[in-house]
Amino acid sequence: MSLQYRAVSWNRQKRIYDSIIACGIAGYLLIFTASGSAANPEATLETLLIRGLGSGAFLMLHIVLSIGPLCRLQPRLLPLLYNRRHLGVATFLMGLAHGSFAIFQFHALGNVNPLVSVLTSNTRYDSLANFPFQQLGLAALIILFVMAATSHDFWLKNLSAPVWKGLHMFVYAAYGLLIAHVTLGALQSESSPALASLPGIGMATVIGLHLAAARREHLIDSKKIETANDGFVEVCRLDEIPEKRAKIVSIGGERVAVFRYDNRISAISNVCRHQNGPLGEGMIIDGCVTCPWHGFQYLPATGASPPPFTEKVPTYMARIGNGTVYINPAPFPPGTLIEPAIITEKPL
Amino acid sequence: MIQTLRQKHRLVIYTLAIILPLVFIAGLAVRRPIPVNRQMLFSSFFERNQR
Repeated sequence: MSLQYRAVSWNRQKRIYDSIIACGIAGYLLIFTASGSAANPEATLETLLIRGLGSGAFLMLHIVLSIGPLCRLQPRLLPLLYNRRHLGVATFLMGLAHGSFAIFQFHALGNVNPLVSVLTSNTRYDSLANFPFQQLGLAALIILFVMAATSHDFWLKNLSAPVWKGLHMFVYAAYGLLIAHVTLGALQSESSPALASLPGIGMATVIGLHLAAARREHLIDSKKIETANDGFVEVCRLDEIPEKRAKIVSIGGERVAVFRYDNRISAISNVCRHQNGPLGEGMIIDGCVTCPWHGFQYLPATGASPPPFTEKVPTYMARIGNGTVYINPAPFPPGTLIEPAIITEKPL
Repeated sequence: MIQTLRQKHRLVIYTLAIILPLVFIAGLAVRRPIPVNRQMLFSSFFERNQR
């Protein structure tokens, strides 16, 4: 968390993360050009670089898109999510380098503006085999540029998390365009069945992970809630909530995180104000609910970030009876102090 | 609060899960051997400029 905007709020984790990204990119390009040169001795460095940068960017986009569902399915992978935006920006830069090299190599020799040449040199939109795949790549690059340019908390704060996330969902449109770009472009002249099947394997992985994560989320949302006469709903048995952790319950599609800490139970919205991260999958650190995505913190009784921070989430009334935790599904305004339910029962 | 966004996200994923495999399979199905001028393909930009 930070009170002021900086280009990058560097810390040790971000430096390690970015170093791994930089080494990964350098290593990939080195291996790609070396093996490509060995397999095709006539290939020039420009051609190998264009292909290496393009395939590298495509691979990185697969990783970016897989991190979200992987973290839903396996919370131990959450550190990957922490700095995902840097990986996204690096993906755009790789794609930009690929596109720039390709335009320079294939469109810079004529008497037409290279960008105009990209858009007009092939207009066979009626033929799948001869489809103008370069335009698809350019469209994807424009989307990735908008996303990279807005990958900062300044935009997140000013656009609001739902609008920002809605904007960044266009990454799926970019992914679709790139699948078509690769399939109708590079794969048309790829003679190796193994290499031709790689994009298909990547696509199946990304879609499969998203569908598995969606199924898991659906199970949480579809769990039946018992409502008591006084409007409170049953969450779970008290002993199902580990100390300093939460149980997530879905009420009418909105999720509530019910935390247990210091012989108390408090319930707050599961949605972090920063990037809508799942607060209930985080834990209580230094007395504060800590979002597992980027570490934003909230006091469990008030749903407000500790001073000087100003983020607030709605709170809910909780109570305990016969070893069972209940909450009232009506939310209080963000930041409202709700006295925690006190755990009086002795642990078994 | 974010229910609408999650529904949109789910819809996008289901749509992609149907459309992308179709695009991929159709793209592979229309492949045919392409005559390649290897000398042109693998000559460097600078070499071509010098000619």
